Amino acid sequence: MKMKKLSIVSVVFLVVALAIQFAVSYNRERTNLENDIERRMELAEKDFVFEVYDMYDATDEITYFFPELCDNTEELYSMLKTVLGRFQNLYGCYVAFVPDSLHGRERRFSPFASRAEGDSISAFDASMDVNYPERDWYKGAMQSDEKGYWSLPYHDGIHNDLVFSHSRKVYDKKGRMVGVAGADYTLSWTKHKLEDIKPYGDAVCQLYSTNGTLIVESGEGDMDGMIVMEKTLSPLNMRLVIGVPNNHVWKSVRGISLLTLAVLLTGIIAAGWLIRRIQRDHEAYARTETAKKLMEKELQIASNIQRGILRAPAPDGAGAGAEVQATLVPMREVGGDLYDYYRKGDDFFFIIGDVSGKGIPAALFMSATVNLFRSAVKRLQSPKAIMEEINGVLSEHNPSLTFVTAIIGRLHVPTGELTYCNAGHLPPIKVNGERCEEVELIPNIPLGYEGKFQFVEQGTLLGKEDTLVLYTDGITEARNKNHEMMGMARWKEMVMEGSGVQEFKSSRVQGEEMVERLMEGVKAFIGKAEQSDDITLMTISKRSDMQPYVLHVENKMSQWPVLRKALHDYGMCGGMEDRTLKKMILALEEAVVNIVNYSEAKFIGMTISCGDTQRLSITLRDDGIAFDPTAQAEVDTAAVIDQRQIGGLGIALLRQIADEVHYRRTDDGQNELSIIKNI
Amino acid sequence: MQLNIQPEGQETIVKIIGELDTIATTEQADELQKVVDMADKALTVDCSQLEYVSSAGLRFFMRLKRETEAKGGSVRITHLNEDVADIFRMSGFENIFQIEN
Repeated sequence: MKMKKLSIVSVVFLVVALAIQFAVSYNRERTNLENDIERRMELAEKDFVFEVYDMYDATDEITYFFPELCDNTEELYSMLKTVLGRFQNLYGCYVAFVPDSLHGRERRFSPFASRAEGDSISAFDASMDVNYPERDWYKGAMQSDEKGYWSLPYHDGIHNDLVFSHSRKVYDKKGRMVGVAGADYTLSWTKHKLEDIKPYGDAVCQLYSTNGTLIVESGEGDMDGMIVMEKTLSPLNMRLVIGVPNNHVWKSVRGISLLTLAVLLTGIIAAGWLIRRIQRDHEAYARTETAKKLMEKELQIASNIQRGILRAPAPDGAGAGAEVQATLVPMREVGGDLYDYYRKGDDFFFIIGDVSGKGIPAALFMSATVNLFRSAVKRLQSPKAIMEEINGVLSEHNPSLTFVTAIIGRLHVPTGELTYCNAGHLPPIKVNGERCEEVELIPNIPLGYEGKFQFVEQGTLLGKEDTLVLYTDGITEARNKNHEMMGMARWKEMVMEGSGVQEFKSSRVQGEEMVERLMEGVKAFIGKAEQSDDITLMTISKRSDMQPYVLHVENKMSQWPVLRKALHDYGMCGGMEDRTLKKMILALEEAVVNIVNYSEAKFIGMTISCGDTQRLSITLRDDGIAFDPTAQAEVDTAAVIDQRQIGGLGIALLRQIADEVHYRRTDDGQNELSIIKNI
Repeated sequence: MQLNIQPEGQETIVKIIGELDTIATTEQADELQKVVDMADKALTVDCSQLEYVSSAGLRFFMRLKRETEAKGGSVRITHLNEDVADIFRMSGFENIFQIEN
């Protein structure tokens, strides 16, 4: 569409340009031609004037000499011959006496000097051949003034050619007008003159007499459609007309126009070619743009899928007693960084990894790795086994030799035991109280190279206030505007700061807030520089603000291990000291034994909670007979053994261990015993 | 819980390994009875590997003490760990038993 429009514009432009050029050059050419013709006519006039004035001068001379000679015929002939001899251009000089005007002569007398072939001059009486009184030149001269008369062309009966004359009256000594003197001029010779002044061979050149009779012409054809110019030649009063066919102008104009056309056409073709090329480029660009948009859309889909693969951080993502937070900022739409986690019973499994390379290939490997982890973690218990299974599959078909660095870990939440296995990844940082240390790592090898490699796993402890910070090299190798790298030292400082050590004298900031702080730090470091790699950050910490744990069991002693384990795990998660926890377990056992032995209840409900008041609180409910252990008299432990009530020993221990013991009978008829211990 | 009974010269050494709680004293009452049956002997109870004791466990120690006093034997408790020693202290048992380290 655009091309068509451009073509039309080009053609219109071409036509207009040509028209203007044509008009301009036509005008110029025509003016040139007209100037040329005018110049030629001026020259012609001078020639004519020069030549015809010979006739004038000749008749003037004859008239001058005539009065003295008019009576002497011989001298008259002689004079005429002399005059003719002096004027080379003339063909004849003569005198024609008024009939019967001279005595002793014939009735008519016309002495005539004529130039014959070979420039010889003869003289004779022409009255025999010419009835001169009837001639135009005679009659005209008679009627004209002293300047004489220019005759119309005529055949003089002597020359073959047409001639014309200048004639004027002559007078005798007494001043009587006795005849006419004349000089002839042949038009055949004039014709040559006309040929000379023609600018072109096919031009037409005409000479008209005063009365409009065509005297002589050179060239043929009517002058319709010719450029016609005319000039009156004074003093003959003849009209010189020159007609030049228009095509001479056209020819010049055409030549110039053709040149212009060629230049313009070349220009337009070149421009068209250029435009076409630009258009093609544009179309190609548009096609590329479309393809790019399509690809961007697909990439966006891929990006969404990848984001979908990654677990969204959830407050209870790590399950009771632990907290996990993770964030992944891909450099492009899709990336090769990965993380995942899974809670299985008391164990919290996690993986962080970085696939070599970037973009789609890395993303494919990334999703494979995550899925392999998810599959393996459900069946396998040790990070080593999970690592080896993933490695086996990834190494099996890996022609591109893409590899993955990763750390797989298992946090046993109740105890804080951390078992981990490294595959060439960066050391996690453990933030502990006022310290911040790199976790010791055995490198092993990255995943994807050697399917049968035996990985070695390691262990450490994650305490109550501890946070494990895992990350990818997108952070440590991040560069700022000055191309400075983050580096491990700077990163560790950032982690220390992020954990709030400086503000609170301990690493109090954990989880989401910590991740936010660290990411802000990383972004601030990168500043206006471009992110050079995917950035992944994952923190794992033990939770201190624990959610209440509720458990219902049958009122049987066989259920004791269940209750005991629940308290043990909860206490461990809450970071209770081992010895205190053991005593609380004893307290709980005594309370439970009491219920089992005496209440006849069907069930026991237990709620363990640990608020931020740093108190561990166990509440036991049973639907048995109302019994208030706190109402029992204190057992005198100092009393001698014989006197003691063995049965009261358990309750006594319970009351000694706990900081507070409360009993109440609830509205719905249940015993509720609360055992509280300050931690 | 595991019991390891070994005569050593004039004494009989009873090693209690693991936890002596309500369930253990109930489920392993027969094995514990064998110890009580040796109340005429000079018994040394090695508690170096006793990790936990509840009132039920304490009752076992009480029975053992009564029986030895009745049958002319004796009971000596050694190597209590801190946790278990705490229980003995809290329950007053440290006053009625001969406890050595």
